[in-house]
Amino acid sequence: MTTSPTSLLERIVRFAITHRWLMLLLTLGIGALGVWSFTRLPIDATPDITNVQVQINTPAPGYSALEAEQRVTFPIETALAGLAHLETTRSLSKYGLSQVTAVFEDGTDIYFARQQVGERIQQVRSRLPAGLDPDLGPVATGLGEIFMYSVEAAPDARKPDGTPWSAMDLRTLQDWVVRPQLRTVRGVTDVNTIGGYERQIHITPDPTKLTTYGIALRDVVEAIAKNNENLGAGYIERHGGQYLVRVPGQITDLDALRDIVLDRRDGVPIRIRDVADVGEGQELRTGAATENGREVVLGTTFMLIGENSRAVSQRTAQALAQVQKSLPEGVTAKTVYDRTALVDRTIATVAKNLIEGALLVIVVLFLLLGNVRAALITAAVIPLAMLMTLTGMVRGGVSGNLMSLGALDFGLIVDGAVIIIENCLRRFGEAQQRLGRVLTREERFEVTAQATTEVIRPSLFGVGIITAVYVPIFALSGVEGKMFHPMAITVVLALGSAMALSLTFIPAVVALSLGGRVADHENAILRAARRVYEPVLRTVLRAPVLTVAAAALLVVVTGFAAQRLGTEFIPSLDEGDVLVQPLRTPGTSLTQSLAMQIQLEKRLQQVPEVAGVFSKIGTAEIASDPMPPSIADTYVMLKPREQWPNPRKPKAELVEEIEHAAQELPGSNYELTQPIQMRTNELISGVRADVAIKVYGDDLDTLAAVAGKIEAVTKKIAGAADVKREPITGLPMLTIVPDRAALARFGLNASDVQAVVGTAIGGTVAGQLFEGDRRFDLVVRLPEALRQDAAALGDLPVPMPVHGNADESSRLADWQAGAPAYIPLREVARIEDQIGPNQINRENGKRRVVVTANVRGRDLGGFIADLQQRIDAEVKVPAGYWIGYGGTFEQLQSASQRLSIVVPVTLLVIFGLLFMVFGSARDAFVVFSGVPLALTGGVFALLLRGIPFSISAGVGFIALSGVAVLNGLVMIAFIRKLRDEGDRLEDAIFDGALGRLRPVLMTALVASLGFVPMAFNVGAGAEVQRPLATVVIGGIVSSTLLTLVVLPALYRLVHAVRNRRGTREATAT
Amino acid sequence: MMVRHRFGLAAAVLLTGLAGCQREAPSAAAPAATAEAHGEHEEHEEHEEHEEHGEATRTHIAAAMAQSSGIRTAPAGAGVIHDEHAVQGLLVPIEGRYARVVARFPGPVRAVRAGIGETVKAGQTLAVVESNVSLSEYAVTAPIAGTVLARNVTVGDLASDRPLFEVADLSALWVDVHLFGADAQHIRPGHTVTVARLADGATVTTTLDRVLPGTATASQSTIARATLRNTDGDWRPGAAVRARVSVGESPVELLVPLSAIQPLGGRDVVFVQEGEDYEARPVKLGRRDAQHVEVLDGIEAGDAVVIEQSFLIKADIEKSSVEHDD
Repeated sequence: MTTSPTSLLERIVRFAITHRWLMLLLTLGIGALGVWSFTRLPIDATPDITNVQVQINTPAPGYSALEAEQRVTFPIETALAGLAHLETTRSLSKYGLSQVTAVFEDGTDIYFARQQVGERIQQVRSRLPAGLDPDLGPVATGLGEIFMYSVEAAPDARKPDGTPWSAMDLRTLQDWVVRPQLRTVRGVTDVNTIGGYERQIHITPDPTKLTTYGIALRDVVEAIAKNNENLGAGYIERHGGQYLVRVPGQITDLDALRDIVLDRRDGVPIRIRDVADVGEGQELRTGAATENGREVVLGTTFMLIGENSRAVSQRTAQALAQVQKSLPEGVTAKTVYDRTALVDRTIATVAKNLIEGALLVIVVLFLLLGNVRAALITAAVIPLAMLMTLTGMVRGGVSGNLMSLGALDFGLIVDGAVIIIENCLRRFGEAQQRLGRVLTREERFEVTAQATTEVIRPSLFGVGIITAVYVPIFALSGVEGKMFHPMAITVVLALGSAMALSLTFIPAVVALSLGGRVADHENAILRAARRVYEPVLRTVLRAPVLTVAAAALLVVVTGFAAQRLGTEFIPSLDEGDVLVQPLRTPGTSLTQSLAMQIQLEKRLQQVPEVAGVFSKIGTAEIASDPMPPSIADTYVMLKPREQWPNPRKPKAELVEEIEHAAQELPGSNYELTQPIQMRTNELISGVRADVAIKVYGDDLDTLAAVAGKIEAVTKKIAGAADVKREPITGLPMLTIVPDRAALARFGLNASDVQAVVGTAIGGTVAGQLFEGDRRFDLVVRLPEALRQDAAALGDLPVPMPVHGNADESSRLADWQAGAPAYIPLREVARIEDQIGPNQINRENGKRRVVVTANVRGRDLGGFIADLQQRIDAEVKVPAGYWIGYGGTFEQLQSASQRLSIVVPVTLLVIFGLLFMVFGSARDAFVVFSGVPLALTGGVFALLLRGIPFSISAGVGFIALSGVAVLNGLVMIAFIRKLRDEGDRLEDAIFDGALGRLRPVLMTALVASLGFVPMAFNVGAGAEVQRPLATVVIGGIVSSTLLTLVVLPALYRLVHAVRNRRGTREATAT
Repeated sequence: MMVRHRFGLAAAVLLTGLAGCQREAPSAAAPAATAEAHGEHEEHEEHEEHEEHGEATRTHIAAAMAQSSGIRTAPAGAGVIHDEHAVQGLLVPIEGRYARVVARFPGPVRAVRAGIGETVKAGQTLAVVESNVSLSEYAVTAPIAGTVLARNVTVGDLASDRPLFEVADLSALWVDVHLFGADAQHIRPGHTVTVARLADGATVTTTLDRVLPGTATASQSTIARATLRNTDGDWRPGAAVRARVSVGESPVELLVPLSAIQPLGGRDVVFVQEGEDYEARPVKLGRRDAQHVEVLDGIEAGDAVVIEQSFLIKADIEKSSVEHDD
């Protein structure tokens, strides 16, 4: 496997040197492309791990969970069946809302998916109850809620009429002034509103007056509808002109509404004003918003999928500043949450790490090479490779974020270039020494070409191997996959770019600029290193068996030590803010929840580190996150660290303090998380537990009973932890059951009762009042005081049908004349307090209740087998019901399965690559032994810093394997070269090891120093990178030491055996 | 031999590393807690689970916190349950104080001395009619003192058996209220009625005189009648009124405000304060009115019962079983 002089690589290198200016120009062009790409790179804090999903939200005002499921969810769900690339559907039905989520296979185009769903919705629309409109959720992901603002009035601000701004006025401003302006901002797909009251015009008839006049609620509704229409009546032609005819009949103000005539009795018109109050009223809202202990209106902008969150939030902020000018005096639209801050902080951390890393690399290069120009050339690879990577990222649709940019180690990237430059310098030095003069241009080119070709193969293979080790990451699927694929793609891109550069740009520039005298003298540092290394190497070579055994022992010890590492998933990105989610008992009213929330906010504001608190309670206008009124999202915005009483207080401690503060308040349980984290978790949903036992069936009580038994069984199984059953009931309901017999007596229909209750409690929309663009619903409803009085409900008058045919009763004509034309509700219906279903969940078209469990201290496979067996034996499932198993364990099993194939294959590929380089399994093996040795350092570094094992750390180990191999490669390749030149084994090893001290030290140092800032940074996002960097640094230190010490010993041991055998064979013949 | 061993080891380390990380991952990430908050959280959950087994019925709220949350208690004690019904009524003139004035002998009306709305005394001349029988004029007088409600006559009319005037004494009126269903059974004369005018809400309290024997067929309602003193003269016959009939005032030994009752675990409970602890006591409830409910069993007189923000205590007790379910 010697390099033939006309190999492809050499031809490329020579071409690059001959056309060096062209190379520079090309590089410059690619750099410019990179700069341009950078401006188009979507930047966010973390990778988007949301799956491809389309939400269909159908607000169904007044519908309870049961009705929403039966009338809305079921038809929609059925209609969705069989869509292309549909993975699963799930749904939830609760008070006033049906939400169906269609999850598509990863990689499905979102617009394709939405179009399909849209078509199906179009078909199903006719089967839904009149007046219900399914809406597709915004085209956004878990990262979509990038910007939130509050619309609030100064305490002393007054409306033009002198009254203070009410929550309803603010809401109206939000709906008709702020929102329309923000919706048009580029990159914003929608603006959601929560809080305040949507302005409605309420017509609240007094039931007594209605019955007195013999007017029913529906008469009021009809009268309004008949008096609130504009009509276009075509046109007429007159004297050659054309006149359009229109008959306006719309109500223009409340007085016109009050004057609508309901009936005429004895020539006297009975108007709405005679039986009802007319005025602004409050909608039956599903959500509220608070800020710092008072009610406000909150707006949230959703970012379109694939947009640049930073740019969009900035544009939104600018637009909001514009909006401010159009708001009345005293009312402000204030930013309360801006993703830009987090992205900026995170990117600043990444940039700081990258820049510091790059500087450290340059310093090391300079120190070890002792040549400024060479160091600068090497360093130039950093920005160039970076720009090329950015271009690739934009093309490949990878966003710039903590994960994708965070794993870049410039040390690793320049490794290839370092090896080449180091060799060039050495050869220049040698040539100059030999000739005793400065080289001519042609000589210089020739030496450059030779020196490059000499090391290009090992260095290319090295980089190739590092790239190869990232391949298993591509085998990760699901959330892990989405999280780490960008990282793998970026690193592979960067390494590939660096590889291309070291093949073309480096030789070209070296040939161009390293003219003149090249001092390749060993500097003090290297001389010192060599002085230490020489005796060590000598000792080791004398006792190779002992050395190798000691190393093997170390690996074994590490294996045991690794068991003691804690584990965690992905270290979560510190978003800088805290999200406190109070969970209150189901059935908590919005008003109660609001009062409790205000208390909570006031308490949290007392925490000195807290800058402000705002909350969303219940469900917003766009029900993308349907929460019941009993749950709130409390955003706790923290002050910048400098303003904390103790700026060094760990975040964890503060989070704990916040939780304690919240716990002081009675009535709520709390979940603490972070805004993006929470939103993402909600969207990818469902079940984030190891094992989910799902019971499917029809009857909710049966489902609950079966789930209860399963819960009990599961709890008894060894290894089960956090066993929980999804609650389905618990929502108090006032059920008004029409009494059929009584209805028959009075000649009433069930719908008569329903209509009365519906209008009285829920209200009926009778039309709209237009004020320019603004339109407000006209709602006929009972006065608030009567609605709230549960006891008065029974007295609600139900109008009786007017009998045309007098029967028995005509005998008592006297009585009938004075007999009322209504009967109280309690005479025809039973009013019952019941506990009803809180929320009905369905999956793939069937009702579903889930029992979840995590598994601790036991292997998952065994647990599942045990669980299935026990449930089969102990839980009797009625006919028509069945049990399914799910949860992350499926994903884990498939991931482990994939990894158990991919990792060995990758190792085999690396081994194959090494074999290609050396043409010897032995040498390949020797180099390969560097991997476990490197891992030891990584494990000890983690132990030393007390960082648990996580996927981040795992990725670090992967990177480490690559670097370790690269180190070994450089050294063994050199030793082999020496042996090929005829050196004895021992001499070759000794000289080779010593001669390669500089490149090995250099590659190791740059690679580890490149990660040093990352390992010790405390800025935003640093916690995700820290484990990775720690592993790599620790591993490289150990790997380098062991490469320098163990590798020669091992090589000697392995080859000594062969040599001896070879000698014996020789004597035998 | 050596080669294989080493290779295997390397693979194993990498494999177990990745696989191990995978397996442990979700349990550490669930339930949406930050890694930092996690340890704390777990401890909390365990605490709750413990509580759940014993069907939590009590909770602790510090006095200051209870104060600022608006929790108020009051000792449970004896009281009166007012069984009230809201009904509608109609004002009608009292039968005995209403008169239709007819001309005794037919004949042309020669003079009319009273107009609508005028107050007349008993015996006061309302009109003069010339009798067709005697051809002499005679006075048609008011049989009772009262207000002229109707005047169906003008000078020159021929008086026949048609009433000329309607006179009613409006100093008192009847309120006829319609009673539905079961109410008709237990409403008795003597029950208190509070009558409110629709127009201005002015109220007058009176008592039921009688419950009429018949029932209206169409509405299956029975009329109960009370007499109302028309002190300000603004109560007009024919006007509809709102009425509250107090069916009974039953003194009970133990009652609590309705705001004290909360459903908990399928039963009605009240929360009794013991120091800074609050305990849920299942109660058996008796009669109730718009504000109070009788407690038959479950608490003792004098127990400090939470009467305001009792929901907060229910929420605090139930919070252990609350989970995020979306």
